[in-house]
Amino acid sequence: MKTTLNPKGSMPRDTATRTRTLARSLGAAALIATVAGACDLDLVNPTILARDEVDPNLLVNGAIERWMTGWNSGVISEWYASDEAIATPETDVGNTLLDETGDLSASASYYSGYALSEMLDGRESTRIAVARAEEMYDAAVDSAQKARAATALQRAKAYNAWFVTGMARRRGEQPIQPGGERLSELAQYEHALGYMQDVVALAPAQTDSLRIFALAGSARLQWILGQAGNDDQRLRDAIASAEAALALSPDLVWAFAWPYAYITDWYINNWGIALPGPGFENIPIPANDATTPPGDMFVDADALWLIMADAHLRLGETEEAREALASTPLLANNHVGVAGRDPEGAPLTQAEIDAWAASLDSDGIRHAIDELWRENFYLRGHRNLSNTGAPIFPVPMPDEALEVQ
Amino acid sequence: MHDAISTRWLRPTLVAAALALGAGEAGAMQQYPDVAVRGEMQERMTPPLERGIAVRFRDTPLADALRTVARESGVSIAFSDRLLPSTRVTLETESMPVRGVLQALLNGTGLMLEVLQSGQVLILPRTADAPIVGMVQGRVVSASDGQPLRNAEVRVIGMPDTHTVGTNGSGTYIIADIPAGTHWVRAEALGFGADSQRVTVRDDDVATVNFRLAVDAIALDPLSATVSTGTLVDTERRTLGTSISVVTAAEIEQSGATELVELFQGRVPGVTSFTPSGANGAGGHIRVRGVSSIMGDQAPLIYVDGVPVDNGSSAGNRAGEDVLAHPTVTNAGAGAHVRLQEIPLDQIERIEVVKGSAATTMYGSEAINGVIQIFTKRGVPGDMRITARVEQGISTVDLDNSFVDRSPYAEQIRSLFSNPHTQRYNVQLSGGESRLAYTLGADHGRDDGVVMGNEASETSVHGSFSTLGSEKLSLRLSASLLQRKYSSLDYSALFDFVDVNAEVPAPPGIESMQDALERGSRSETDVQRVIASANLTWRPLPILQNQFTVGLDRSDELQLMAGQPLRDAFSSTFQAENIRRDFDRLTGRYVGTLSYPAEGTFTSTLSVGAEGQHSEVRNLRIRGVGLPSPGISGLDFAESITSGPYAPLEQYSAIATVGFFVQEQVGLWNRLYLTGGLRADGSSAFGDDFGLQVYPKISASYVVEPVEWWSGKLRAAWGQSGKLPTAFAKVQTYALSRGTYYDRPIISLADYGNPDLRPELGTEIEFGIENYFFDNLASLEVNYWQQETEDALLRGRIPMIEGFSAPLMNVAGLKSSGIEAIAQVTPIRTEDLSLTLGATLTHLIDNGIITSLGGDSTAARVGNLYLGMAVGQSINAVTFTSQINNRRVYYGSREPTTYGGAHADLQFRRFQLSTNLSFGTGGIGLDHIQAQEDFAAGLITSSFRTFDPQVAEARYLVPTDYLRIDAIRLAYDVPPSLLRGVEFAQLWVQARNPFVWDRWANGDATTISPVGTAGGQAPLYLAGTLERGFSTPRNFSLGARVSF
Repeated sequence: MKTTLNPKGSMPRDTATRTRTLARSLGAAALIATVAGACDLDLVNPTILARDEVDPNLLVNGAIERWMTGWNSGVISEWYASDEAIATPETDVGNTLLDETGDLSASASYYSGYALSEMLDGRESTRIAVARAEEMYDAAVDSAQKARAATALQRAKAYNAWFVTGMARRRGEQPIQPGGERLSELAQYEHALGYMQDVVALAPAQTDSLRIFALAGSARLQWILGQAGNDDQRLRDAIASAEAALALSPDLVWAFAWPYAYITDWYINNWGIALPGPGFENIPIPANDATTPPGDMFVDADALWLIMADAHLRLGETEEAREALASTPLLANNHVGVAGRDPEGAPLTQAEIDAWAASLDSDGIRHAIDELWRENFYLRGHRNLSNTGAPIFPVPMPDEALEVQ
Repeated sequence: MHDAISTRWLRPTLVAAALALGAGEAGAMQQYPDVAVRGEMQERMTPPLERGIAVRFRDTPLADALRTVARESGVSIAFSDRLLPSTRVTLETESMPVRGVLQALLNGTGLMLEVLQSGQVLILPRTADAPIVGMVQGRVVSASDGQPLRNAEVRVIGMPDTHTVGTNGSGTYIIADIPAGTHWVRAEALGFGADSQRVTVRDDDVATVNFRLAVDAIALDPLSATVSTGTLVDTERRTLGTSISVVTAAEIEQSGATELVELFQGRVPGVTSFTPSGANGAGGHIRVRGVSSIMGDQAPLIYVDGVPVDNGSSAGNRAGEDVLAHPTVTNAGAGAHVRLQEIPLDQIERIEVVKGSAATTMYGSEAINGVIQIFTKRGVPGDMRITARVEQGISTVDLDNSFVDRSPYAEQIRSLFSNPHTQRYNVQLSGGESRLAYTLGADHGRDDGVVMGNEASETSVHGSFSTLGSEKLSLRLSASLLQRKYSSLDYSALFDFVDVNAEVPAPPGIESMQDALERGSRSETDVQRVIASANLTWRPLPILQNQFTVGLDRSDELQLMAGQPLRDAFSSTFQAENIRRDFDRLTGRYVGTLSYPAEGTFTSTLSVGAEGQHSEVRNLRIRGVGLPSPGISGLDFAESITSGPYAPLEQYSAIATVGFFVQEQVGLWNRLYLTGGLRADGSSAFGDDFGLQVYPKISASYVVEPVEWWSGKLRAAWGQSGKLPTAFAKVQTYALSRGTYYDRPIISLADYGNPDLRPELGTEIEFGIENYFFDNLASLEVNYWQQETEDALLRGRIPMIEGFSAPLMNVAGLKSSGIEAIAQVTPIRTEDLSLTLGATLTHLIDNGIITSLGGDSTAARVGNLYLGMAVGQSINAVTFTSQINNRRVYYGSREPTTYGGAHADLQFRRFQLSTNLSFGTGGIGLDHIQAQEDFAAGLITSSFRTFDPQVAEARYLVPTDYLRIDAIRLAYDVPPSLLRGVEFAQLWVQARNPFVWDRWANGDATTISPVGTAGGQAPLYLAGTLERGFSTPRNFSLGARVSF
């Protein structure tokens, strides 16, 4: 052992002591490092919910909020892009261009902005709600739990079907879940139809409101698919679904009442620089009430009658088409002049309607259906016709949104 | 050396004589003389007589003093009591060679010391051939405030190191054993310019040379001064491969600044700061070397006494720039950093600024925006010194701008402003003895605010205790307690009450803005904060140092709002809102440093360590509506309680981070220094599928062989540091709330989560040269840097999840680069007159240029937040929507791209005149007044929505160039002879922000929010003068400081 003398005269310090000191220091460092490394870095946020804590019913509520937030932003652009509105020269340049071209992809806020993101969030939230409800259903240990889970699943599927349909119509081909494969527009409708039928199957009673809505929704989807594929059976299914829904709810409206009369007050009354397009001048802005809400609408009784009329017409069943047309509630009080109605005048009587309908050939029925569709779609983002005559939908998804990461 | 050799022939005789006279031998080898200040190894190498010791003699008999020296130093001293005169001596020194102490004690006694070969010292009568030696003594103080400078280095030029001493806590020094003749004595201190004076030393006499050192940010013996920041251990500047800036307490005093944000205006190259408004509580922004993040906060990491502290925004700041809670896409354009205001400048001893990732690597995952290290004042041993400071002033605000002048409501606006009283008080106690030093301070300030109802006050206390004397173990404890209050009124809708076209008509009885303000709601904010740290240094071996640091930063902020919001047009019921923000941050760190060999041709310093941090923020916002009367802030009587319109009722963020680091610095030939290191961080904010983030660095510094008129060094560095993702962003989370549109409970996807989340990664390369001319009478430092951020965070990119709940993803990139320079020259330096001129200049070649948006090269991609951003453009872009094609058009940067400052410090006898100015150019803003007028005249259809690009460029874009005199200060040192018992007294008059010139018609360009919203919204909107800000007030003050 080598010993060195401390020049200060203290106790001799040997190299072993020094080594021990060094080791002690390193040990302290290692101890701290170990303690630090052992610290739990997986923190918990008590103010937010994890996925397995989510109630699917409340998540669907949230999904509807998101969907409507996006709809609220996007429907203005859709309104301008369609032939429903005229942008005056004083209007913002963006809306003027939309009016002139009908090209919604030129609108950043529509193409990849708030409208898109919020609606996508709404759709994704319903998909997660479906998964959560299924987990709850699988985990249920008694009939009551199963019933609650089934109700949640029914509702989640109903609104997922709605939102998938809405996105398919607006954006065309796309995946319907993160990382999923791209589905064609029709494939998305098929997915939605399947969910609608699940909703019907899950219903606890014939008169269950979601069942009725799903029947109506099925009618709309079957009609779209029937048209696209020239599929007579799909068209007949659409008619059957519509009839079943109307039988249970003659005044059916499946829509989100929108608490804010956004278009009405802000764009038209206040600004006074956006005008209804030709043929829309007399159509009143949908009232802010439960019966004719200004918000997004998936289907209502008028739409179901028009679907039936159109389907029958496509099937060559002119008489049935005529009857369906004549049964459309909107007809009596229409503002587009169908059946010679004066928009300022009194509602048509059923006798007047029947007499008028009896005089129509198939072209006349087609024209009447189209006109009534126009009124039915007014301010709801369904109108798929620009000033140039070209359709405004689908607006392709941004490329990056289609990439699978 | 003139000792034993020259008197060798006399030794036997004198020894015999001394012993014959009955000399006693005092002292013996002592164990562990705690007074030694150097390491054991150094002591072993240093002759006993040259070792430093601390002594404190006051009117002490000379014999007793000699015995004490012998005892404390371990040097055997032989003398005869009969030889010694009955002199009593006074001498205080913290570190002075034993030989010098003895010379000082014997000065004027007719005695001399003789050193035998054995090391024994004999005290003998002076002989005829004894060396003719004398002494120099004096005091070193700060020229700006007269504060004594401890540890200033004083040396006799041309003499050996034994003639170099450090000043004690009173700033005094003494150098003995100086050959008679004319010499130059030089004094240097950290943060001050060096000074040299000529002195004539006479035999056995004492010459006095006092120094008043002027503040100097860089030329503190440029290469040997020690800095603490950027490396794991205190390091000499000569070894650093990166730039570092130091701001001293004296500079702070000279700047006239009252807040940290003001301090950096034009003073530190590469650093710019903004105040969004002159309102109390408005906060500010400090930006170091441009923009380094798209979504994240741009604020630098702030350390106080080695502990990272909160630099977030206020609880009431709805834009929320709380880095833990939710970084905003507008990155610093939204919420200003009010926490910066909570660090009283009077408590600061020194600030070190580290810029760029090459220098901040060792700070890890929060350092991408730079690091600002604040060191609070610490005590100096000696008698208790009390310093009191008082300042009284008035403020005015500049309302002579186009906005106000052309407003139809000019008189109404002006009536809301006044010239309020400002006051600041500070008292500091400092002292200690050889084993313990302390400082205690208290501050109080009050500002009545230039705009109605905007009062602010703050009170703080600070304490620091340091152990001294032991080279093996030292401890420092420091703590600051602060309370800050400020109030504001509801300025949100004032124009509605005087505008006949207002959205909300004024109710009866409200005829002016003043009426409305008095009736509207009032907000009171109360912040209580404590910052505490403990630093333990343990040196078991001279070559090994262990540093342990623990720290805490805790703040509780409560904002109470009560009354009637103006926008509700004075509804019949009243409401109140309580907003809380509680912040906690705990830090623990260990750094072990092995320095071996510490001297010689090859040196090595190896540091390893670990750091753990835990930060937590709780926000709570509760609004009660339907209160029965105004002024009730309690919510018990509310008809209903909501979270208010802006934020979730409760918000919680927490991040825990652990880092490990290692660094090796090699020195070669005392000229070339190579440093390499890395830090590995794990964090709760990282995705579960992501492991550790490693940040490497490497740097080189080469100290060039000095020539007579020049010295300097070249350096280069490359390194990385990061920025944490938002807390909990890795996890898929959901929020429970009440629906906005449909009144029912909802669960929303709060964040989609990203298990691969990792920090933003900044990589910087820096080159620099430091030049010091003519013995540091002039200096010039130039740096070039380029920083790129990879893995910058954006929301989105998972297909079909593109909204606010979309996950944060590391997909984007941006870059910044620039050149910065700081120069200083002292053309005049005499005892009576000195002049120092300095300037800084920073040019941002690129500032936040987006290099990637994750595959999307066009502007808007995810929500409205990204409108206006595009690859190749700055994220600080000013953009308009083109009327031609509905696309965003990029015009340039909102921020100045070139900025800097200058200062001049003139000292004439007891007068000191200091001026600071700052400037910026290269930024552009929007002329909102012109647009509003054009809109009113029907020339454009809507203000700031769409323009013909060419028209916009010609008509609405205005350069925001500015030149501002930040402060002018004239101080006078009162002769101590006029004030009995006062050691130092100073009076001053000061003007803060006396003059601003700009080309910005809309107000004060210097208060522009640095980014604003990406879409180009204006900082000063027509109806928003009081909401958005007004000029920083001018302040004129008188002050006095006394020390006794």
